[in-house]
Order: sequence, then C-alpha cells, then structure tokens
Amino acid sequence: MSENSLSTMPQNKKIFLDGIWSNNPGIVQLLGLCPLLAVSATLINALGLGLATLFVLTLSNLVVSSIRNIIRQEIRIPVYVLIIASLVTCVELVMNAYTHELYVALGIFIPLIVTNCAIIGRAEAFASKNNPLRAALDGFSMGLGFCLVLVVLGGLRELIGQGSLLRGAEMLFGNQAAHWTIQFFPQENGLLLAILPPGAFFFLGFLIAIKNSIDSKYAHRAKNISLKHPTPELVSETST
Amino acid sequence: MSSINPKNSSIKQAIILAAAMLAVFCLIASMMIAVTHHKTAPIIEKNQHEFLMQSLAAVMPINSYDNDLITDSYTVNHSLLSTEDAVVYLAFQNSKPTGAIISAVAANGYNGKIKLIVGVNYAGEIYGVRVVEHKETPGLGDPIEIKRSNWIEQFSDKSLAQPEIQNWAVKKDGGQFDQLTGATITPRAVVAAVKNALVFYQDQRDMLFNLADENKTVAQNNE
Repeated sequence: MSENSLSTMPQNKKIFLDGIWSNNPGIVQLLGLCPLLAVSATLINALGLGLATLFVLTLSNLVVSSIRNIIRQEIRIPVYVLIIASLVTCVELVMNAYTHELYVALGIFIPLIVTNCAIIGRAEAFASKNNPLRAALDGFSMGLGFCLVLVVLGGLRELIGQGSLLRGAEMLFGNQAAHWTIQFFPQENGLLLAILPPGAFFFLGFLIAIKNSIDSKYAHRAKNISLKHPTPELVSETST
Repeated sequence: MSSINPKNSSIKQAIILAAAMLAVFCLIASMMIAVTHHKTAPIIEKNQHEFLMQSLAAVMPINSYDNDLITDSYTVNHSLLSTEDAVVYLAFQNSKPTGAIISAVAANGYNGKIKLIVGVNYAGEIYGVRVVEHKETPGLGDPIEIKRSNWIEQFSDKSLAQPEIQNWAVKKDGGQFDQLTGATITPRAVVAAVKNALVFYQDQRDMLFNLADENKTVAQNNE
C-alpha cells in the first residue's frame, strides 16, 4: 500500500461519513428501495435484513477489490454478480439454519439482496478502484448507512403503527429476547397507515426531508460564520 | 489475409482466457456454496422439522397420540380443503385412531389464501386451530394469528354438532363466531374453512383410517 497514514486517515473518515450520512444509499442515493420499503414494518425485520445486507456488502467489496487487478475488464460484471449471488446464497443458508423464524418472516427479501443495486453499485464504483482495506471500509459504511435507515424506518413504523418496539426480538436474538418487546400503547390505537406499504413511502420521505433540512441548516451556519468572521487559519496567518 | 490472422488469434486467445477465468470463478463460488450447504443442511432440516412439530403440537395434545405424525401423513386432493394438495396427519394411540390434523386453505381471505391447520379428535371435536400462513391486513385481519390475539382459540371444543352446522358463521351472518373489529371478510373465510375441514373429516374419516391400516399391514407383510 502506497498511501501513507497521514493522508489515509482523513480519507477513511470521509469514506465512513459518506456511507452513513452524506452519500447514504438509503436516503441520498435512494438505492435498494424495494427491500427498504417492504421489510421495514417492524424494527426486528428491518434489523435482520439490514445486518444481512451489511455483511454481504462488506464482503463483496472486499472480494471484488482483492481480485480487481487480475480480473479481465470484459467479464468483470458477470464476476461481480457471481460473487454477490454466492455470498447472498451463503447468508441465506446460514440464516435459515440459525435464525429460522426470521428467515421465514423475511421470505423472498433475503435472496433479493442480490438485486440490491447498492451492492453492485459499490463494487463497480468503489471496490474495483481501491485497495481491499478501503473497499471493505466503504462496504461496511454503506451497509451500516443502509442498515441505520432500515432500523430508523422500521422503528418509527412499528412504534406509530403498532405502538411497540422490538416485537419478535426472539427471532433474531433467541429465546432470552422474548420479553424485550416494549408496548407503548395498545396495538388497536396504532396508525394503520404506518405499517401498510404507503406508510413506508411517507416515512422515507420524512427521513429524507429531515436529513436535507439538517444539511441545509449546517451549510447555512457555515456560510454565515465564514462571512461574519474570518476563519481561524486566516486570523493566525495575518497576525504573524 | 495474413495480416488478419494474428489479430484473430489474439481475440481468440482473449476470449478463451476470459472464459477460463469465468469458469474458475464459478468453480470457486460453487465450492463455497457447497461447503456452506453441507454445514447448514442438517441444522436447516432439524429447524423445519421442529417448526412443523411445534405448529402441530399447538393443535393436537402431545399425550393424545404415540405415532410419528409426519410418517402417518397423507396427501389428499379434495375441494373442501383446498384447490391444491392438502396434507392430513393421522394420530394413533396403541394403534387405535385418536384424531387427525387437517391442513386447509381458505381461498377467499381479504388478501388471498389463508393457510390453516385444524386438529380434531376421533369424534371430530376440535382440539385447536392455527393460522400457518396469511397475507391479511396488519392490524385488521392479522388478529387471526395466535401471536396477535386469542381469537382463533374460540374454535376449541367446537364440532359440527356444537354449534349446529347452520351456526357455523360469524355473528354478522347470523352465526355464533366473533368477527374482528374492522374485519369481517377474514374471519368469515377462516370460519368457513374450518367448517369445511370438519365436514371433510366427517365424510372421509373412515376411508382415511382404513387406508392407513391397509398401508400398515402392507408394510408389516413386507418386513
């Protein structure tokens, strides 16, 4: 690796922040919306799919980056598809074996991770051009960003739609998690729309709006500061 | 012509190389999947068996039979149960028939099919009913799941004689079963499917157990 540690440190931080905030696959790139909207009716379902996607994305980026110098340009896309599909198949088998109930609850959306364009997108756009370590970090950050959006969306929809959080935790964490469910108000009083598919679109829209308003507030503040006061670096330069 | 040949052969070479590379990757990928499959297959099989046994245990008391329900299961095709094949598990104790678990499909749910299992004793009285699979509206139709409410438990101890067959309907239709708040179509479909399963059992019980007996004698003679 030719990069020295001084220049890679901020880069690594940027890769991480890109994945979970500024270039988030769920609410900025809007990739992989099908599973995002379909399984986010409860927090546990969302977390299960989020973790599976995170795992596949990290590994696929790592593998794609490791073979980037030996793979021929013409066959790179079929090879990426092959890598992603085999990883997903393995994840599917492992989930079927160790988290059987969650596997049944998520159904078709586990094999459909293959078609999540965020994964092949990162393979082509990032992993094929960077060293394995950074590619893995990028996959992990993007996966974490996707997982976070899923969890927030799932948590909000479950809370507003059913008045509960962590319902069905035993599907993911085993029997000792059976009493983790928190019921805030009776299920009958929930807003039904939140658990139905249109609710997923509404809540995703809200999340995007909140993210954009936070961004614009920060951009505005940064602009104001730089207009009113010279930046500290400039001050120190002029004073010396 | 001679100037094209080397170019041709280099293209050929590139294609062969790419194909070989693709083949190698396919081989590695299939090996990876084969290993995972080999490691997980026994656990998956055990899970599926347990899952099935768990749901069967919910509709048939474990102390009411001593045979392996899954070995004594029969696939039947009957319009009262489902348009597709349905499975009937026969229960025996000391080789005497004690009841059955019937899988039934309510085709007219609000969002398509509702799959049920109905456990009955030999006389046709219900031990319990459970919904195995459904796509009903969350919050409205899904209280038919035992996880959501105890609605489904009202079938326990019912039979075609109690209540009488004309009362096998939801209250809104003049029957005696509770509907759900905001959902009538879902309970109506479930009540009808359970009733049909009972009618099927009444009509076909003797035939089913005779068939099982014949199979057992054949198996014994073969030994």
